[in-house]
This record gives sequence, structure tokens and C-alpha cells, in this order.
Amino acid sequence: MSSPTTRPKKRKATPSMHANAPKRIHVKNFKLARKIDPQAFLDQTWQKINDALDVVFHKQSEINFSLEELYHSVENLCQQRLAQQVKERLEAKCRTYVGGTLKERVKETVGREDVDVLRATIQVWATWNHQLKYLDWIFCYLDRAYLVPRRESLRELAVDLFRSIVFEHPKLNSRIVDGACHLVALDRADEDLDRLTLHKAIKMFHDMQVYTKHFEPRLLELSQKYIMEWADVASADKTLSDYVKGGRALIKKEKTRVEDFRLDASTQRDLLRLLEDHLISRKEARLTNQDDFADLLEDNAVEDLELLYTFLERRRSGVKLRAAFMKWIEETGTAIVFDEKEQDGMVVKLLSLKRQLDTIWKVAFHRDADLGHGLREAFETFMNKTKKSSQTWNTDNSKPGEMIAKYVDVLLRGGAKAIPAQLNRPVDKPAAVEAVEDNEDLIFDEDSEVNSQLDQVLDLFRFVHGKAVFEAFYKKDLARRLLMGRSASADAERSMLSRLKTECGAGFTANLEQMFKDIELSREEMASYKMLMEERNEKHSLDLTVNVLSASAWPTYPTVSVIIPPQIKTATDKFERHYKAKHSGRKLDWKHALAHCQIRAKFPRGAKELVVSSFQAIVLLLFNGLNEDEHVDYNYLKETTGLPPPELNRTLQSLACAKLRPLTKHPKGREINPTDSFTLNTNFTDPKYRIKINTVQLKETAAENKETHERVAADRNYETQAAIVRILKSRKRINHSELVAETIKATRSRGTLHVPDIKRNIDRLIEKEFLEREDDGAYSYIA
Amino acid sequence: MKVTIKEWNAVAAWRWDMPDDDVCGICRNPYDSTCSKCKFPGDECPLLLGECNHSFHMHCIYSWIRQESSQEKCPMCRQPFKSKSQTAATATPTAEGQAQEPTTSPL
Repeated sequence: MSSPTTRPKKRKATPSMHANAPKRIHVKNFKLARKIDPQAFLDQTWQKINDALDVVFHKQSEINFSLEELYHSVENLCQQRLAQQVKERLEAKCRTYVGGTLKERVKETVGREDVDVLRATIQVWATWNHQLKYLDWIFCYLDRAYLVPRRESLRELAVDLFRSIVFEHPKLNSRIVDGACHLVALDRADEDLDRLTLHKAIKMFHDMQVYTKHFEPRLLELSQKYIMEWADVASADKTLSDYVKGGRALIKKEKTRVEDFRLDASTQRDLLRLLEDHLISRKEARLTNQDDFADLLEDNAVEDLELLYTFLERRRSGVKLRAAFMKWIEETGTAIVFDEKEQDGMVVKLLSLKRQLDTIWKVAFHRDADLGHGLREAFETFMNKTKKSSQTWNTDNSKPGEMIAKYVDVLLRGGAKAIPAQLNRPVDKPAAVEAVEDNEDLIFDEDSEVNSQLDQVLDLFRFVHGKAVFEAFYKKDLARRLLMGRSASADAERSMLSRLKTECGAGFTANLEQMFKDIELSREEMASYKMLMEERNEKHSLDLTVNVLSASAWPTYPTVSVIIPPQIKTATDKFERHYKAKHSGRKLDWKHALAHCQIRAKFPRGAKELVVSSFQAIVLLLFNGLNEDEHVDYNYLKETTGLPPPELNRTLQSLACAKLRPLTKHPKGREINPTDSFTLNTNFTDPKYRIKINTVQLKETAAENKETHERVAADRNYETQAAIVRILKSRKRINHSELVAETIKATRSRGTLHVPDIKRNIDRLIEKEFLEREDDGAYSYIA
Repeated sequence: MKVTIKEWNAVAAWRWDMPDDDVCGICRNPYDSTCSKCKFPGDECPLLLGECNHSFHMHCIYSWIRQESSQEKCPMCRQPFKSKSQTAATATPTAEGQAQEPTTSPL
């Protein structure tokens, strides 16, 4: 409208510039006459639109207007700068409509259930959306040209209207939201879910942008209540593993629902947090309950344990199992260690326990470092528990140490055959672990089998603090194996030795190595001795082998007096002379109790070759040339063999009362009496030609066991005293409690000492005048 | 009945050929025990018998002889100390060297 006012001025100026120019034709500006008043135009056009809207809103009849025409009308109105008014009228129109018809339709359902309110709302919302399409078409120009530049939009306007009038209506709002939540609750209760409605509701909430503001908080609030109730009921009613399973299922279900209905990521996050908080964190005491957890361990329920662990791990509280885990291990372990009836099976049981726990740790606890430490700690605790019992002859030696040594002995004597069935590994390892770890072991031979057993035993051994008991028994057993030639495999012996060396240091194995060296040297010695004999052409009916020991490296053996048969005596004397000549300054102490021999004996029912102990041989020799009915009485045997009665009794018992009986005792009975007499067993026979009856020599007697235990205990006392003296030497003066603490510290490698034992050793040292007690109770060293 | 022994596996422990209750004149430990420095008795810590018939742990007498004041004399009888076993060692050259038979002049 501004151009018509400026243009005439220009035109006036032009003629003056061309005054003499020829006449020109002037075309005057075409002026549009304003025929209609804009307000009237608006009213008129709006009337049309209004009619059309009524049709749309109330569906009175089919659409009977041209959308294009209406669109142009709106466009015209906008161009006439009437957009503002159009918008206002439209808003007013919609407001009446939404507040009237639509709201009424929802309100009709107020008397019914929440879900029905929700359904009505969804329906109305759908209608409204449908009608919006028409509005969009008709008012498109308004939207683009007027509203969008003002950061508004027709759609927003419409949604806002619906939200503020229908959804946020105080009476309706909570009903609608609760309707949706009720649907979720139905699903939780496993009842039929109207999935479509819920879907639509969620979409509506999203479209109306009320999801976060209205729906989510309410949903979470109700969820929390539900979860709390569930957790309380379930934790009270269900067993631990069922609770865990239920909890996991619940979490999974909630998660699936969130995904299915496209709930917000924030909802999922908050819901999970709620779930974890209520199911795990607040029920931690229940989840780590000692008794229930112990039941699972007892049943070796690896899968359930894994579920439990991973369940707790959601909250990073898998570690909380540690206390219960350790307690169970300690209790179970202690029961095994102190099970006095089943001492022999102790190591096997411990090994299976260790393996079971290792598997649980690897598979169920995903190698959790903390739980692993707990496992080892607990093992260490119970393995080092000591109790003065008849099993250890009232010393506080560690029984596991002894039993481990004996188990190793069984392994090294028997080889792979000696491995108890329940420890044969292909049987009870879960496939998963085996696949990961044991690939290289798929082809295993006997040696590697024994080796892996040794490794496992050593794993146990590592837990034992007081290695002295183990050392003592291992040494005794090793000596027996070496001297009787009872080792299954020299390789296994050597690998055990090297393992011990890495485990306990060279000092620990020095004596054991010396024992091997002695046997090796003796073999060479015998070889050269025999060669020498052959050179001298001295033939012997008797094949003599001598093992010369370095006394200090071997266990101490008592010298048993015995009268050696002359033929043996000559042979040994000859060897002794040879040995003395070769090694000046040495002499030999014969340990006849350790000797064994092979004899050929002609029994009435066939000749046999017997492997017997030296004492057995000496006794049998006395029956040489006797007839079957010639009795030899006890006293005669005693005099001719020169054996002390206990040894003689043992020997006779092994010959006349054991499974294989070359001799017959008169009268019959298990105990040997001085009045007994013996004859040859004429019925003696055996399917095998070569028979070993020297087991009596191999077996450890109760007295030997006692002696070993007592010696270890005595050694320990000396060690304790030495430690006390060393401490006093460096400190000169020390008070009692400090001395006790220092002593425990100094001797820890041998296991923790009991205070009364330390006191007793202090008293002994005072008696020996190494230290003295001063007036104030402190001790001082007497130089 | 006839019994013949075919094979006899004897066991013997060797020790120094000394009277049972005698001790080394230097360290006062039994001969079958070690000198004061060693940990393992036996071949590792042998004895040395002097011509004067006084014997000591080899390590003991060595450290004694190494001292100036000893003038290489036996601490028991003050005669010059000479090892007897050297002759023994030369007499049986086949003897294993593990005992490291000493000579009289360790310096």
C-alpha cells in the first residue's frame, strides 16, 4: 500500500525534466478499490470455515466443502493480515469443542474403572488426531506463514488444548495415568494384558509429552511398591536359589516389557535401579545368608551359585558372599581334618573339596579375585588348626601334614593306579572348564596323571604352615621306598623332589637329595665291588647288595640286635672290609631291620621264591631241613635268632598269622606266646611263584608313628628354645609378652606356637641357665 | 623243606671310625656331627686325622692352622700337624674324591 503514495511524486518530476519532449501517454496506476471491509470479509469467510469445522467436528454429514477453497480462504485471510484473528477464532472454536464434546465423552466413563477412562481418552485422542488432519489441511497456510515464524504450530496448539482440557483435568488426570499403570500391574500379575491399549496409551503419553511428567513418576511409584512387596514375600517364602531365580525372572520380565512397549530409556534405567535396589541391595542379608548359601555349597549347585553370584554382581556385591563362603569352607574343612574315624581318607576328601571349590570359584564366581583370596585364606585357616588328640599322640602336630605325606607315598608307590576313583579327573569336571583349561591334557599318560595329582596335593601342602610333620613322614616313607625298591617311578620321585624344592627351598630338601645320592652311590659301589669279585674269581651263591647311608640324612633307625646267619655274615664282613679299605676313617653300622631278601624255599607242595624281610628269612632258615611234624618252640627261636621279643613276635606273626602262612603256629591264635611252637605249613601254596610277604616291614607301626610325632614335637621344642635364645642374645633384656610375641614371629614358618608351649620352653631355658628371671618379671640373657 | 637265600639286600649306615663319645678338640661337637659352620654332616664336613693321632673336623683344623699363632701345630699336643690320611689317599687312588682328602699345606 505504500507504493501508490510514492509513485505519483516521481511521475510529477519526470515531465519537468522533459519539458520539450513530445507528448506522452501516461498510464495511471491501476488502483484497486477497496470494496469490502476486512472485518466483514473475515466474518464472511470464517462463517464458511466454521461451517466446515462443524462438519468435521460433529460429523453431521459427509464433507461437503472443497478443502482447496477453504485453504485459499485462509490464505486470503492471512494475506489480509487477519491471521491473528483467524488463529484466535480457531483456538476458541477448538477449545469449545475439546472442552465440550470430547471432554464429555471421557467424563461419561468417570464412574467406571480407570482402564475404561483410559480407553475413552485414547479413543477421543484418536478422534481428535483424525480431525486434526482436516485442520492441518485447511489451516496449512496459517501454520506455515504465521505460526511457524512465531515458533508455534497448529499441531502443538491442538495438542496443548487437548492436554490442558482433557488430560490435565483434575478429575481425569490421575484416572488416565492409573489406567495405564493398572494395565502394567495386570501384566505383572500374569493376567491378560490389553497390549494394544497399553501400546496406544504409551504412544499417546509420548505424543502429548506427558510421559516424563505424569506417567513415569506414577509408574515408578507403583512399581516400587510392587517390587518391594514381591521381594518381601519372596524372600520370606522361597529358598535362596528360588528367590534368585524369581528375582532374575522378574528383572527380565520388566526389561522385556520396557522394550516391548518402547518405554523410555530413563524408565528402563530407573526401573532397573529400583529392581536392583529392592531385590539385591536391600535383601543382601538374605542373599548372603550363611545357612542357605551353605546348602547350595553342600549340594555343589554350581549353576545356582552362579545365578546367585551374577545376581549379586549386578550391584557389585558378589564380594559379600565372602564371609559365608569362608565360613562354610572352614567348617567343612575342619570337620574333615578332625574326623578321627576317617583319617586315612582325609587327603582324598580335602582334594575333592578343593577341586569342588575351585570349580565353583571358576565357574560360578567367575574367578572373582576377592572370593579366591577368601577360599585360600579359609583353607589355610582350617588346615593349620591343631588339636591335641590321640591321633597325634597328644602333640599339636598338624595331622594334614602327616596325611599329605602318606598320600604322596601311596601315589609314588602305586603310580596312577593308586589314584582314588573320585579324583580321576575326567569324571567330575564340568565340560566348560575342561574345554578351556585341559586342552593340553587331553592326551594324558600315567606320568602326567600322577604329576597332576602331585600338583593338587602340593596345592594342599602349600596351606600347611608346619612343614616339619610333613618332612618327617615324607622322609620316613621315602626311605622305605628307596630301601625296599618300592617306588613306582623314579621320574615321579624326582619331580616330587623338585616340586618340594621350589616350594620349601633347598634347605628343606637337602636331606632328601642326600638320600637319593646315597642310593645312587651305593649302586655304583656295588657295581664296582661285583666287578672286583669277578676279577678275583670269587663266586658267591649269595647275591649281596648293600645300601650305604649317610646316617644324618636318613631317619634314625634303632639298631636291633640279631644273630646273622654265618653265610650272610661272611658276605657282609667281606664287603665291610672292602668298604673300609676304600674309605678310610669310616665304619659301617649294619641296619639289619631294614634289610630284605629273596629266598627260594621248597615247600611240600612246590618250590616258591619268597621276598621276605631279613628277620623273616632268619627265622625261616631255622626250619631248613626240618620235617613237617618237627616242632620248633618259641624259646629256641628266641635264642638262635637273638631277636628282642617284640621284633620276634612281629616276625612270627607275619609268618604264621597273616594271609600267607609258610609256618603254622601251635596252638592256633593271633597272638604269639612264649609257650607257642611252630611247624612248617605243609599246605602252603600260592598261584604265584614269586611271593612278597615282607609287608610287615613296609607298614608303619603305631609305635613308629608315635615316635615320629614325638620327635617332631621335640624338634619343635628345640627350635623354639633356639629362637628364644637368639632373641635374648640380641635384646639382652625383654619382658614376657614381648618375648612370647617375638618367638611366635620367629617360628611362624613352622606354624603358630601355643603360648603355654613357649612358657614351658622358657622355663626349661631358665633351668639350663641360659636366661634368668629378674625381679620385675623381665628376662635377661646369661652370657 | 629247604631254604636258600638267593639275594640279600643289606642296609648299612656309615660313620666316622671314632670312639662313640669323643668330640672334636676344637669345636667340641661330636665327630659325627658337623663343625660349627656346616649344616649337613657326612661327606660335606669330613674329619682329618693327624699323624699325632689327634683328629678334628677338617674345617676346624684348617681354620686353626690358618691362624698365625698356631704355627701349624696340633692344638692338642703342640707337634707340627700332619695329616695321616694323605698317605691313605695315595694308597687307594680309586677312592672317590668327594671327601676332598686334604693336604697338609692348605696355604
